[in-house]
Amino acid sequence: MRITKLHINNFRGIENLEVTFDREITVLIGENNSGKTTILDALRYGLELVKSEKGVVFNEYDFRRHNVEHISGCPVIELLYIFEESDEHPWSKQITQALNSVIVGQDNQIIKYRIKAYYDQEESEIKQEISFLDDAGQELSGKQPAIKDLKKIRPFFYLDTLRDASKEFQGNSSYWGSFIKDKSVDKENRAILEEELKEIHKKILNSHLGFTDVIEEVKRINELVSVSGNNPVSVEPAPADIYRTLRSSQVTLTADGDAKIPLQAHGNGTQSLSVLLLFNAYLKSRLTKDIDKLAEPIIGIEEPEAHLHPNAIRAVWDILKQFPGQKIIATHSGDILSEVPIDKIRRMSKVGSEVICHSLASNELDAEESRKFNHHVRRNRGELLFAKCWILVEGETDTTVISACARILGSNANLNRHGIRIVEFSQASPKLFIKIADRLGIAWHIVADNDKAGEDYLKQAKKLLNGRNEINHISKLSASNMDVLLCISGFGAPYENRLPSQAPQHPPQATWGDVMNEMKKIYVNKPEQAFSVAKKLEDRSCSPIIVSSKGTPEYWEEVYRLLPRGSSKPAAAMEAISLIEQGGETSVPSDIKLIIQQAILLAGGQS
Amino acid sequence: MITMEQLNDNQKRAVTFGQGACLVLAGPGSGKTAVLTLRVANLIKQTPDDYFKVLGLTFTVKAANEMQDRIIGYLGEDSKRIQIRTFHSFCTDLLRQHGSHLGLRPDFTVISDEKDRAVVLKDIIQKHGPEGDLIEPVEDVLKNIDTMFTHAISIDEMPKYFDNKEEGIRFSQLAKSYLDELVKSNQLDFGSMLYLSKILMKEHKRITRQVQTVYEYICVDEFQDTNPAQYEVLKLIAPPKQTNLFVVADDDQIIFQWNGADPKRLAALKSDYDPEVIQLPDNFRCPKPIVELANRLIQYNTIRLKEKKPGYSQCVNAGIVTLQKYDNFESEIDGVVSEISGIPNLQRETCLIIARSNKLLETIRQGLDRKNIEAEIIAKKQEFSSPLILFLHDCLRLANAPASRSFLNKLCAAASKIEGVTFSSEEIIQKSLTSGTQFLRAFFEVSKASELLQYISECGIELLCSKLDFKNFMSAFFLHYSDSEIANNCPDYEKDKEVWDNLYSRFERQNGSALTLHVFLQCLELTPKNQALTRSCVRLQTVHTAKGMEYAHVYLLGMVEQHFPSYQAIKQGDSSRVMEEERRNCFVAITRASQTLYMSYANSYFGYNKSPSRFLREMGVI
Repeated sequence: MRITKLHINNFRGIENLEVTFDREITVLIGENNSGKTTILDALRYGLELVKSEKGVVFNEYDFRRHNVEHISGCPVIELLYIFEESDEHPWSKQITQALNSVIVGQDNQIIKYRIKAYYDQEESEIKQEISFLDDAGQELSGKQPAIKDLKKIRPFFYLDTLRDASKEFQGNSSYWGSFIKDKSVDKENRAILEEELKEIHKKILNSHLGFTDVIEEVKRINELVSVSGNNPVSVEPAPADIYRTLRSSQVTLTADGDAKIPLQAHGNGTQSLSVLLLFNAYLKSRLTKDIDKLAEPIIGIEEPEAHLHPNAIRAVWDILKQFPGQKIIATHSGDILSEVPIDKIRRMSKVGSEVICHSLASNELDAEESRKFNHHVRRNRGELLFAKCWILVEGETDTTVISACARILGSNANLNRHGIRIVEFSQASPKLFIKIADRLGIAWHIVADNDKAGEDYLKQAKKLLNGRNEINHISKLSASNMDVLLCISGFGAPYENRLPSQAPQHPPQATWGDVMNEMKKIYVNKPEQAFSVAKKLEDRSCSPIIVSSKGTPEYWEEVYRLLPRGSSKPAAAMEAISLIEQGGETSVPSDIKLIIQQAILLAGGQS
Repeated sequence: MITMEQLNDNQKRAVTFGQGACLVLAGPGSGKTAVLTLRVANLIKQTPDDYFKVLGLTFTVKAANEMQDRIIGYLGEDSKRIQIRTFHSFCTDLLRQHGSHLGLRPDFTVISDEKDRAVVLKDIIQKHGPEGDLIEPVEDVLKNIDTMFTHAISIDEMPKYFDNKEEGIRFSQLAKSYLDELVKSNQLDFGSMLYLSKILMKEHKRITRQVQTVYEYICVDEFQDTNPAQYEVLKLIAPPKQTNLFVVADDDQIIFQWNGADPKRLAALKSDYDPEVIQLPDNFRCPKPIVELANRLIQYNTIRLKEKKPGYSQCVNAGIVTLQKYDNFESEIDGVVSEISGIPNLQRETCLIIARSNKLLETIRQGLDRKNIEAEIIAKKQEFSSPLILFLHDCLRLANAPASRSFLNKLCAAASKIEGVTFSSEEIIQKSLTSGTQFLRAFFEVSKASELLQYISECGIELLCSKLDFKNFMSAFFLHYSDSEIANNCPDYEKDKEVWDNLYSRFERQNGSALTLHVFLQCLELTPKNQALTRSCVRLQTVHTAKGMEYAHVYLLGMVEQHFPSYQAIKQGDSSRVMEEERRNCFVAITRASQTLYMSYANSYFGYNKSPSRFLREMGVI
C-alpha cells in the first residue's frame, strides 16, 4: 500500500495542488520557495504529527494569507491523502483486514484521509478535523480511531537538512534509542554484569578521595536537622544498570592516524552520512519490531546532498535507493537528479502566486526516448531540469557562440541567472525535448540552421506550438549555419584565413589518363563516377575559386563550404568570438541577440 | 464465567471446531451462548499475529451486548478483531461505508417508526396522482412491501406473486418508488437495508471480496430465526465452500415465522453448506421434570430435524411442576398472586409470568397491581416514553439533520406535550424561511417564549445551532430538569433518563473519542430503550420477548384452547404450520424455568367458556 496522491488546498503558499507519488521514489525539484518543503510538511502533518482532533498541529503561518490581514479571514486548510491500490501491486490481505473500516473504492481499494484546519472565531483558536471519506468523497462518521492504525502500518519519517549526529546518536533519539531499547542481553548475563558494575562503581568511589571533605562538612547537618545517628551522609554510586551504560555509549570513527573521534566532532558531511546510515539500520532491523509487523515507512528527505562532495552524493543515492518503503526527496542536486528516471521527477514552479507541479508519466516516453533523454540529463549533471528555459540548438558551435555572446552582452543577459540552458539536440530529435519541456513546465526556444535539416527541425517544432506564438519559440538563422552567420556579421576573417591559399607543393606526378586506368582497375563497375570524384578533389586542392562577390552572404557560404577538412572550424569560431568581444555589446550579431532576448523573456525575466 | 475446562465433550467439540461449516443444534439451556463466546474468543486468542476479524451475528441488541461483555470478561479487553453485530447493524455499517455506490450518503437515518414509513409512502402516492390511488390502506401496502423484502424477493420478481398481473406490476412500481424515495431522502427502514445490502454485494464484487477477506470466521446465533433476506446476505458474506461458518440453531425454537423464519431455512443451510452437525442436547437450566415435559410436547411437531436428540437435563435442582385449575380468570390471577407472595421480595426478579397475548398480560398486571405486587410488562421499546426525554432526543435529531421536516414535526409534538400548547411546525417552517435560519433555530426562537422551555431553548441556540456541542447541551438539560416540578410530574422521566445515561456510557465506552453526535444518534436508533427493573419487580413477558432468558420461577397462565394455542392456529388446522409454531412457543415458554414451573388454566375468560389447552395433554400433565 502506497500513498498515491496528495491534494493541498490553502496551505501556506499553495492554493490548490495535486501531487502524485511514485511507488518507490519521487523527487521534487524547484527553486527555493516553490513549494517543495510545503509538500513535505503537508505529508508530515498528516502522517506523522496529527494524532487526534485535540492536539492541533497547525499554527497561524500555515494558513494561506493572500491579501488577508487576519487569520480569521483565511480560507480553510484542507489536506487530502489518497492511498490507492493498483492492479500490478494489490494490497495484502492483512492490510485489508487491519484497515477495513476505512477502505472504500469501486474497482480498487482506496483510502481517503482528510485533515481540515480552520480558525474558530468564537473560541479564538485553531481547530482541526480529521475524517475518512467514502468513495464519493463524503465524510464517514466515527472513523477517527483508524488514523492510529494507518500511522502504524505506514509510519512517516522526516529527515531534514540539518542532520546532527550529536542529536541522533544519543539515548533519547528515536532511532539510536530503539537499538538500545532492544533488551537483548539475557537475564543471567545481565545480573552478572550488573553485579560487576556495582563493584566497580564502589571501587571508583572509594579511590576518589575528593569527597571526604565534603562528606565531613555535610555531616554537620546533624546539628541542624535530626537525621539518623550512624552514617547520615554518604555518596552512593550510580545505579548498576547496564542500559544506562549503554545509553551513554558513543559512536566513534577512526580518523587518519588512528584517532578515535566521536561522531559529533566530525565534519558536517560525515555526520550527515552517518545519520542516514543509522536511519537505514533502524529501518532494516527495528521498524517492524517497534511499530507494527506490517509497517513499511514513508520517508520524506530534504536535501540529502547537504554538505557532501559529489562523490559522496553518488554514494548517498545508492543508500537512499535501498531504503525500504516509499521515498519522497526534495533536492537541489544535479548529481542526484541525473540518477532519477524522468517519470519520478516532480518539477515545482511558481507562476505569480500559483504553485504548479509538473510531471511526465511513465508511459509518455518509450524506452528508447527515455534512454536518450536520461543520457542527456546525466551528461549535464541534471542541470537541464533545473532550467526555466531551454535554448535548443543543433550543435556545439551554436552552444559556444550563444553562451559567449550572452557573456559579452553583460550581466543583464547572464544565462545562468535567468535559468537558461543551452541544449544540443543533435543525438535525438527536437520533438523529444519539446515534449519533455512542455510537460515539465520548462519554456523552450529552438534555433535551427537555414538548411534542409534545419527546415525539418523547425517543422517538427511548429507542429508542437499548440497555439503559441511562433516568434517567441522559433528562430531560423539567417545563414545556413552559425559559422556563416558570424562571417556575414563581419567576423569572417578567421574563416577566410583558413582557406587553402597556394597550389600544392608538388604537382601531381600522374596524368589524368593514368588516374583513369587506376580507377578502371580498382572500381571495375563504375570507374567514370570514381573519376569524376577524383577530378573534384583536384579542384579543391588548389586555391579555390569563389564565384560570388566578396563580402556577400553567398560569398561567405562558399568560403564555409570550401574550408578544407582538416581545418578547425571551432578554432575559427573562437577567434571570431574574440573579435566580437573586442567590439563589445554592439558587435553581437542581431540574430543571436534576439534569440537571447526571447529566451530571457520566456524564462520570466527582463532583459 | 465458564471456562474451557468446565465444558463437556460436545461443547468442547463445538468451541474448538476448526475450518469449514458447522451446525450446532442446541436446545434450550444448553450453554450455547457460552460455547459461542468461547469459540469467538479462542479464535482470536490463538492467532495473536493475525489481523483477520471474527464476525458474530446475533438477533437482538441485548444478545449482542451480552456477548460483547462476556468476551471482554474472557479476553480482558475489548478486542477490535471481534465484531458482534445484529444483522441490521452489520448492514447499517456496510451501507454507511459503501452505500455511495447506490446513491446513499454515509449519514443516512434509520426509520424504525411505522408512522414515518407511512409518511414516505403517502408522499409517493400523492405524487403519482389519481391513478396512484390505492384500494388498500397504506399500512397494508407497507406490510406487503416488508414481506417481499423479508423474503428476498427482488422488485423485478414481485409481479409474479400476484394473481392479477396489472396489480402486480403496479405494486412493484410502487415498491420501487418507495425504495428510491427512501434513498433520495437519505433514510432507510430495516427491510430496505437488507435489500440494498444484498444488491450492493451482488453488483459490487470488490466490496464483497473485501468483506470476505476481513471476516475469516463467521458465527451466527439463533440461526433458526433468520429470514430469507438475512440468509441471502449471509450467503454473500460467507459463500458456501469458501468460508468458515459456525451456526447455532434450535429449530424447536422457531417462533418468528411471521418475520420470515422457517424450518426450511435450516434445510437450506444443510443443503447449501453441508455442515458438520454437533448436537448439544444437554439442558443445564431446566430440571428433569420440565425437560421431560418439553420433550414429550415437541414430539408432536412433524416439521423438525429428525436427527435432533431429545433434551437431557443436567440440572441439579429437583424441580417442581405444578398445574392448577380455576373457575375463572380472576381467581386464576388470585392464585398466582398467592404463589408469588410466597417468594421473598428481593427475589421477585427471578419470577416470570408468561401469557400468550398482551391482553392477558395487561389484565394480569393490573391484578397484581391491585394486590400491591410490583410487576412490569417487558416490551421492546423503540422510542422513549417521557415527553421530556423525547424532546431532548428530537432536539439532537434535528440538530443533526437540520432540514428534516419529520424531525421538526416530532420535536413540535414533544414540545406541545410538555407545554400543553400546540407548537405548529408549519409556523416554524415559515419563520425559518423568512428569517433565513434553519428549522432548529427557528423552533428555539419560538419555544423560548414558553416558561418551561425558555432556559433550554437559550442553551439550544448557543450550543446546537452554530455548533454541535451536544454533550454540553445534554448536561445542561439534565441539570435543569432533574428534580424540577415538571420532571416529577412526568412519570417516565426518571426511568428514561436512567436508560439514556446507561446507553450513553455504553456508547462512549464502545466508541471512545469518536462519539460524535452523529454516531451517538446512529447507535440510539438501533438500540431498544428498555429500562432496567428493580429486584423486587415481577416480570411479565410474552413468549417472544422471553426467548433466550432464564428465570427461577415461571408462571404460565391462560393455558386454554383459543388462547394458547391461539384462535388463528386452531382455524388453520391441527397440523398447520401455525399450530406447529404455537407448540414451539409453548416449548420455549416452559423451558425458561430453572427451578419451578407453575401452569394454570381457568374455565372462563372475559365471559367466554374455554377448554384446557391440548398442549397440557401432550405434555402429559392432564
